[in-house]
Amino acid sequence: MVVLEGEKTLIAGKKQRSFKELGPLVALMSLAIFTTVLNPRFLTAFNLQALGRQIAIFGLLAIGETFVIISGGGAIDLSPGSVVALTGVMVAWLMTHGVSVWISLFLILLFSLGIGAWHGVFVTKLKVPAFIITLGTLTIARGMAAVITRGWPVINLPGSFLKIGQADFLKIPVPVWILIGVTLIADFFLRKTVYGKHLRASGGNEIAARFSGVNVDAVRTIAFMVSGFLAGLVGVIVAARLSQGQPGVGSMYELYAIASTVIGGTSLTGGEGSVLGAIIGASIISLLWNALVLLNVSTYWHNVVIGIVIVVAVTLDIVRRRFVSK
Amino acid sequence: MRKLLAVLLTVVLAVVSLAMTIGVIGKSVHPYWSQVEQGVKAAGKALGVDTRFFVPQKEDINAQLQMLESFIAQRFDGIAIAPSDPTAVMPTIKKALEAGIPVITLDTDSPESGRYVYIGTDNYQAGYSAGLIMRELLNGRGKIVIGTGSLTAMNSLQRIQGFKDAIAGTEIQILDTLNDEEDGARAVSLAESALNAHPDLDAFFGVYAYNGPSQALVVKNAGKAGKIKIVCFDTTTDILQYVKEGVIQATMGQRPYMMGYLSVVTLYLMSKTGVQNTLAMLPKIEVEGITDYVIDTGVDIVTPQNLSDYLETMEKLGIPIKF
Repeated sequence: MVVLEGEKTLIAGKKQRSFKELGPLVALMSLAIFTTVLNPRFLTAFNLQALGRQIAIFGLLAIGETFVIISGGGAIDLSPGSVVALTGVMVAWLMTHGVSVWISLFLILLFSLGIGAWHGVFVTKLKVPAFIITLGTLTIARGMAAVITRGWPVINLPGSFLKIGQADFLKIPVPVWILIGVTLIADFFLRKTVYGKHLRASGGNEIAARFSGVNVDAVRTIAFMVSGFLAGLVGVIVAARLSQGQPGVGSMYELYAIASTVIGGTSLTGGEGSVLGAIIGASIISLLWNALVLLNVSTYWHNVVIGIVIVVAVTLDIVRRRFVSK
Repeated sequence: MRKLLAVLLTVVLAVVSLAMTIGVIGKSVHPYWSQVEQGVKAAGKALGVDTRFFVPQKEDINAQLQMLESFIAQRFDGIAIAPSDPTAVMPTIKKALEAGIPVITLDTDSPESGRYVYIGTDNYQAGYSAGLIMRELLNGRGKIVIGTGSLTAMNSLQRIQGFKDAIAGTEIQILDTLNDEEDGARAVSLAESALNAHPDLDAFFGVYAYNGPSQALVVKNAGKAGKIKIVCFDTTTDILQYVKEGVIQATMGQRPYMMGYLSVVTLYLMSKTGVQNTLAMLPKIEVEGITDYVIDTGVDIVTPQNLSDYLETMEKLGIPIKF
């Protein structure tokens, strides 16, 4: 009987799942088909690889943002874009100062976990609004990147490191493999583990979660650490892709990440969200960057189009979900 | 004791106010502005002048205005500024001039503001030179894409205009102008997209310092180094590396060190000998019947052939470039 009930919820869950990401997926497919019809060069291997690298960058940030936003309590992370710049510059600096590639990577990823933990402590223990503390990090990290480099790009990185951003394995770019790995792990954690359940509970109804013994503070701190870690990972990928640590990269990436997350069906009030949805959202934004060039749209209009698409995608999805729930 | 303190204080104050202070306000944290700063510091040292150099994190006209006002409040003996917005800065420059502080612009001009002199690259001319080089590289025919970080900033618009005027009348076609909003990663994405959208592309023109290396990275990774020509701006270490490898065929090296150095020298002279006496020594140009003073610091066109000479020249200036 219990088993049956469990099965039922699983089936119900599956049903819901197939619906939840349907809207953005249709939008993504339509965009891809529309672009291909107007310019078949969209489907060249070169273009798809370039697109894949871009999706990896926005997708990883969107996964982190998804975890933070689901955890609720008004949690949001505004720091990823600047953390991408700072960690990229730091990893480049370490490697040009004689630290081996692996140790540099390890230190940087540890450092970005630390940034996430720092956010978590401020938000849960000191009750500082997430918006404010991560805005602080946005400013500090951007500033630190400038302090370290004085604006100079950090160049002459080891060839083995550049592979992370530029090499392909089985014709698929390395960043895409990283994205696939992270997506599988994150999706598994969000949907199949106790942590995922607690995360959704914390965001859905914090008081009820606390009463039923969920350690909301720990759950939320871990969510911030996931976001920090992934921002550091993207920082490494971007530095490897550009062959240099550049203090100016990543501006507005946090906003693209938040938009990707919301397009993918994560609710800004917390409690529900989807990793796959976030990836689809990130794919839509990356595809736009790419398609607008292929479609010969004047560069003056690029941002206008991207903004409109974000608004339309999110609105359609909200309307559709309301329609479905009725 | 008290008397002694009072005397000491007076002496300290006298010394502080005796030292001439000159303020320079740049645009953003960038290697280019580090070189300006080096020039400013070197001139300050040579002339025994106290110099203050300030740049906002990113281009930020409000931060510039606040710093400008604080320089005015501190009664500096001269101020040089590279306004991120030529019109927004006008009232504050007027305020400084009314307070008797000479103001000049460097790198970016604000001609209507009443500033005495502009010291910097004539961006239209520099763009024109880039266009002439492109003509030569392509033998007057081919398809090109332009990458820039702004479609509103004057320096970007003037460079592109100069470039277009230089290739006018040839069979060189500009397929697209792409704006990445000063994000190097986006510049790479756009260059990749452009290379894919136009398989018959012959060349890139990079307007801002990071545009050239972004295009070079994409061209090199696509295995088209040398086949697709690149002409770009500035001489950051990564650009010079690509010039050395022959991925970038020519870059327009500005002279930021000179801009910083000459700004301090000019303001020093204005403070010492008077504004009019200093202007009398400077090159004049006539614009619509009004006399204006401009020092064009010019460009160094760096190519794979003359790279080593260029590095030697910079070394002599005390700016060793290592890569």
